[in-house]
Amino acid sequence: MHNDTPNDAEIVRRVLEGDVNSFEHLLKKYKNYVFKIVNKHVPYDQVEETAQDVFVRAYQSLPKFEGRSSFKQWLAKITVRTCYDFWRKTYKNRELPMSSLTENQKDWLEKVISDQASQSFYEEVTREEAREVLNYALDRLSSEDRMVLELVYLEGLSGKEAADLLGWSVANVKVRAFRSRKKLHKLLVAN
Amino acid sequence: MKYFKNDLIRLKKVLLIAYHNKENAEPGEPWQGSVMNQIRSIGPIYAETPWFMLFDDRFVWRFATAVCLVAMILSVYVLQTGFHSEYELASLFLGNPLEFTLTQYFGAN
Repeated sequence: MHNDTPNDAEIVRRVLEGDVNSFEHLLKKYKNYVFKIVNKHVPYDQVEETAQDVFVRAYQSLPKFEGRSSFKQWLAKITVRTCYDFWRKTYKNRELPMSSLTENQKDWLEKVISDQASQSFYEEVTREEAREVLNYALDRLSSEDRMVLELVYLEGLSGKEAADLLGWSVANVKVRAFRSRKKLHKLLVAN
Repeated sequence: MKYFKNDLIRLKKVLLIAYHNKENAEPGEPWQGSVMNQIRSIGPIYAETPWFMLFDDRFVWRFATAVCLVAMILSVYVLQTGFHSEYELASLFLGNPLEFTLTQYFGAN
């Protein structure tokens, strides 16, 4: 059966020959994939803008795409690094939050840790409170610690996979993952 | 208060659920249009030719004819004029010994 859909390498070649509109094939094919990654790492109201940055960066970097890895893997790296840059910019312009956990959040944390919570507590209350507590802790980490913690601790990637996505050494990722996990525990348990 | 490993594992589980259950934004048609508008405003981009590609087959063969022609002309010239390096060096040394010696000295270093 004849397949009319050009493969990624063919589309990249066309774009690099000056056919800008061919890039829309890549955009349509990978927009959901990029959104899936970006959704995990940046706040809801910043997802669209960050995903747009990802595709603009990918377009501008196409001449450097050597085809050693698949286009999808290459795009994943750009996506993760754009999310990391988002936090770097955000952290640069913000004041360090001074507020501590609210009483409700502290109660929630205590219940979870001491296993006093019922099943309904986990099903109904947990989601919102947990997100608030998690955001509280992540906001107090550096952008580097935050990205490593999300990739390794929360998404379960290996050190090598995270290092590849971030463009860091494996040793750097492992050290940061260990330290950021300690910081997270300290932030939550010390409260 | 002292916490045990199991307590922290439970906390991690709950945080993981919260992390993965986050509200997700979806890409719509207006978003796609906006990205393509920005891409079009950047304009076409072209592949860069790395320096080592200058020695690639395509570039070598492009100049092959010219290089062969030059080599042939030089060969004919040398055969016609009877160029002998020893005689040329001897005549240079006899003609201007000081300059020749300095050239050799600095050239050798």
